[in-house]
Amino acid sequence: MRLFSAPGLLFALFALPGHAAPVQTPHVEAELIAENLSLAAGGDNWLALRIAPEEGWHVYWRNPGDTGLATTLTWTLPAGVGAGDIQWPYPHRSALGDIVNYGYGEETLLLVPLTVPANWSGDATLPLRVKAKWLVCKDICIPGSADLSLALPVTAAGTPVQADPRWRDAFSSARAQLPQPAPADWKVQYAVHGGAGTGDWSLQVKGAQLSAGGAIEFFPYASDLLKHSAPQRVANSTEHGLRISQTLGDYFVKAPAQVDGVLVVHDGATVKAWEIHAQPGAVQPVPQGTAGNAGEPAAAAAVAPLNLVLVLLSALLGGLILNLMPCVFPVLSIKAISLIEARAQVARRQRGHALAYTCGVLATFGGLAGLLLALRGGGAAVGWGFQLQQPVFVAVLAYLFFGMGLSMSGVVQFGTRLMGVGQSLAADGGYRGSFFTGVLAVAVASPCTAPFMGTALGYALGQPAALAMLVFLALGLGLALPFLLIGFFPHLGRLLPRPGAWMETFKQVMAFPLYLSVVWLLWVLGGITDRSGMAVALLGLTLLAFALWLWNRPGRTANLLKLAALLAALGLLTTPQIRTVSGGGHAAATTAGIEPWSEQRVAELRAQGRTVFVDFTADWCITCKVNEQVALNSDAVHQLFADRQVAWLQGDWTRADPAISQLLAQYGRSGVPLYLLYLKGGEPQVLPQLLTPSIVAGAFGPGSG
Amino acid sequence: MRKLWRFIVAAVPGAILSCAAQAADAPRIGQPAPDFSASDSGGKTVALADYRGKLVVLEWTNDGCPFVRHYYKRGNMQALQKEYTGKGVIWLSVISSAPGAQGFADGPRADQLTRERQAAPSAVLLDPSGKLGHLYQAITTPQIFIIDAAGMLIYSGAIDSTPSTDPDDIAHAIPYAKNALDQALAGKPVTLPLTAPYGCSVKYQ
Repeated sequence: MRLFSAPGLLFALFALPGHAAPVQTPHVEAELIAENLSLAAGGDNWLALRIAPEEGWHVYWRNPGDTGLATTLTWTLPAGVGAGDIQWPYPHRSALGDIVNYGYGEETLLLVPLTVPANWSGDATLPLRVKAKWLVCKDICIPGSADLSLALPVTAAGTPVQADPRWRDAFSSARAQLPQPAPADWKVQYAVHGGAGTGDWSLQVKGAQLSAGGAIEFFPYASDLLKHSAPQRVANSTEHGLRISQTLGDYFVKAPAQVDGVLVVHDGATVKAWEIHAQPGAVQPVPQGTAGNAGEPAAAAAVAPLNLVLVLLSALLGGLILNLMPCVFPVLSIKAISLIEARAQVARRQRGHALAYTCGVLATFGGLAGLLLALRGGGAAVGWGFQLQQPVFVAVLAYLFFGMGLSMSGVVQFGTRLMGVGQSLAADGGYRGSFFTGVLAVAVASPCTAPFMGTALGYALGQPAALAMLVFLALGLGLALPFLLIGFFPHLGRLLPRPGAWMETFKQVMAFPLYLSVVWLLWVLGGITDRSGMAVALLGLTLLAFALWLWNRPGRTANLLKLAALLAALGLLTTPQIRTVSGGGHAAATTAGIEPWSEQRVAELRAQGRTVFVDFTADWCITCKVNEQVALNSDAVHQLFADRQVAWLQGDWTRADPAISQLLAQYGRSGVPLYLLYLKGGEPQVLPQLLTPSIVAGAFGPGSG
Repeated sequence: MRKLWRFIVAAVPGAILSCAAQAADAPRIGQPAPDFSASDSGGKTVALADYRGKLVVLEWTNDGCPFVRHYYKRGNMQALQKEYTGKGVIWLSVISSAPGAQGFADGPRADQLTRERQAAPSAVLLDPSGKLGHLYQAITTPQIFIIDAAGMLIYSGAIDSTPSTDPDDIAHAIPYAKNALDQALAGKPVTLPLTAPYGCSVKYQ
């Protein structure tokens, strides 16, 4: 080394390994470091950007998430020397409000491989320069950069190099955080269901025996694939392997040829990460509401045991109020017609009809309650309204309503037994009609968990089966009560209008609420299955209409045809299109500003001291829809929520969802709606099941209206 | 009883309509852009409906955000504003930062920023409550929405293809928003109508 060569002097200063000092920039300390004290010509050399954000600040992974920017390195190296890409340690997920980012909140090494040709004959000491650029963020972001350099001597090929003792641990722990290539026998596939912002992206990893001891996360390299703020639903079983579903990003355009990313598996204190490359394939989405980590166990003591008499009374009252619920109206209208007609009948027959109707209601309630209790006994997390989570049941209801509607429109005459309309005094079959009207009333009432009924049913389901059954029967009795009373006290019937020619017109008009109900049922069906399921149901309705049109036509051909059409309509109910419950990302909130509910999200928001409103709803719950229309989507409530900075989370129970069922149980409910308000992150208050804007405002305390 | 029937007839379609209305809430490409009215920096109320028949750009902005600064630093954003307002486009810069948060501006401050940066938007909309931002589900600054003469949303996403806070990168990036505007002005469909926005989070309340 010649003393008077200026560049030589400069290099001499830097030639001492480790002389590159860390650079302090606002909120970040950065340094270029090397694993070894010298560079091996022809060998593997590892450098790293050591980047240490201040406590509370973070820098970003290669996919930064919703906002942010990945750290970049631009090298200036002697000719022949090459630096590879950054080897990114697996990132950490951080959430700030609705924004989710992937990055590092602690000191991290970004490893870079460096190659020096084996026949290196250049300078004995290599100057390595890099410009590092990053964005460091807390609630605000500051771009940072540093020009870093390091000079290392080159060791000839074949000569061992010595590790730098200062960085040995740092490099080895950084390596432990690097994703490993996925084993060759893993079968990694993905599928896309639905579209941007609402549909699902689902990953399946088969052949990997992954421990289910802790959280499993997937981080995609592409930033526009997933909705980062949506929870990842994880299902891990020996049968299907590992599956993860997450809502598609709002900016997702089309399915890529391959999805690359990192799978991170936490098992106790150890964390393993794999780089995976998923190919398009058939992957069943993980059902909505499946949490990555098991939810809190239900707080059994959350509801004080209620006095049995009180419970039975409230069940009775709840049943009574059920008569006023919008979902019962179509059936009520039919029953009302038969009541008006029955006024002409002798009192004995009226009592008979009232009793038959009551029996129908009670038998159906008893049957449904028995089924519900048996299912729960078997460990299934189901609640009231579970029938409407079954697509076949919904399709059958649609057929039924449509058939009744056609009959009321006059397309077909059924001998009037089923409808209880226009029956003669002598027809004993009329009782059967009343019985089935009762059955129908219960079937369509099930989506409406009326006020009081929620408490009663929640209580019932926590009780021994016999007691539970009693509660359900009290509820049924409540539903049947108005007609039962009119049957036994005929003078009450005088309050109804007189029978006359207007009734035929009225009957025809009443067909239209039924058709609208069919529309609603098909919409629900489309939500549970998909549009194919809906199309199959529409095909069934067409066949049904054909059969009914033929109904009163004589002749062998007509008989054969109507039989064939009916069988085909029923046969369609067994097709996979209707039987398959799609996991499509329906729960993703469709209204601006509403987030999907998860226990975790509620906990996060409460930890921030935010006021949280949680709304458990279902497509088939008309009470919920009416509340949304009347109260929740009113300008007054929107304004109130905006003023109070309320985070609005929505849990969609349209499809069976154990996490939501469990939460409903915690509040002594077995059905939706359920509204919870956590003022400033505090303890939840339960809002009534029928909302008005002033009830919502009242919940915020005096002076909020 | 009559009242009940009236209720049936009202409630069932009401419920169905409300569901249909909800599904349409999120702004979607090719769908009508959500209507809004907001105060501009001069206190005037500006409504989207006023601009039917013109192309409208919504630019979410925050003068403290490094991703925004890099677009204003060498006049890139200002040039876009001048070029397109010159071609009859309505350019609305929107500030959704809450009071006390980075980028918050009242009317005078917003006007001062416009002067200092020699920016040329048609108006600066003040949205401290975040209502407009949430309506459009804007998540970053900068983020661009373009609405065509018929009021349809034709572009939503990033200003360009290169997430960066360095003005040097602008020249190498694909100018997504500019391309979309050029195509729309030429009466052509926008080839890339939806891109992932990048930048700072919008500093909502």
